[in-house]
Amino acid sequence: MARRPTDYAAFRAIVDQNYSALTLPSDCKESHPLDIVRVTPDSWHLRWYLEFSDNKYVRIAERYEKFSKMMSLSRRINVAYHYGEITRRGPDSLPGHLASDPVDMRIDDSCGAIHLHYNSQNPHHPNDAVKGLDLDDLDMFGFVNGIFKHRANQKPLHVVFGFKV
Amino acid sequence: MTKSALDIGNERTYDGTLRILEAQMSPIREQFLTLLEVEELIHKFEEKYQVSTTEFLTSTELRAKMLDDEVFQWEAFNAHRDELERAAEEVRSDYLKHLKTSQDDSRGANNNLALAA
Repeated sequence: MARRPTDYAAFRAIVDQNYSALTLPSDCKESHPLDIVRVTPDSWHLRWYLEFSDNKYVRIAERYEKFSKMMSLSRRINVAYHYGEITRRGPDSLPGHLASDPVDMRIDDSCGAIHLHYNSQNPHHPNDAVKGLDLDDLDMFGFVNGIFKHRANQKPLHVVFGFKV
Repeated sequence: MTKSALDIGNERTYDGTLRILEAQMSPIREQFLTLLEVEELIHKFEEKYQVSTTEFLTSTELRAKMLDDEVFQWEAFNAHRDELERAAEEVRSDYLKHLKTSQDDSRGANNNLALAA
């Protein structure tokens, strides 16, 4: 998970453990179950969508590729954790997001280094500008559980995740 | 009204509000794709946007107009294709190396037989 090198078996064990421990809130539904696409033992990606009854959604996407010159080790190359309002749907009926769309919280590395979007598309907060939370260390289950907590206790996301920007 | 993912497995009451019956999680799905299947998926994106993958990777303007998940998937399939090609090349060169070694061994064995004769 996160940016640490891993092999698929270790990755999958963590995912299975966290996934089975997760309880969806009653207003939440998986609109796209956690789906892992593998092409080699060292190369895979995953997608996962959760939707809430108040028109908000979570999108999780990660890609892992072989760690160059390392036997059976992979590392996370691409990440996107998104929480926000559903403003449009893609061709597969899943919530879609364009850069101009509203966002509550998003962690991604689409422009290179990992960064945070908080309550708006801009600015992009680089990891070292986010105090109290290492974006690279937060995994998808930490993100999803944080969103569930925020929705349950209505505390602002920066309080739940413990960061300042 | 378009049926949303939340409708599935739940029910709408007489006034149209959604009653959540239960929040269920599906089993994790895992699928393996071959090089051919990955290439087919890449081709679908190229057809849809009428650009090559190289153009997609270099055009920030095009990427800005695309949904984030489509950008993610296209990039992923492209990287997977590279990895599948690399892995195939590794297997091929290992096989050729093995073939060469076996030929060398059998040539050595033949020489020994000739010497013995």
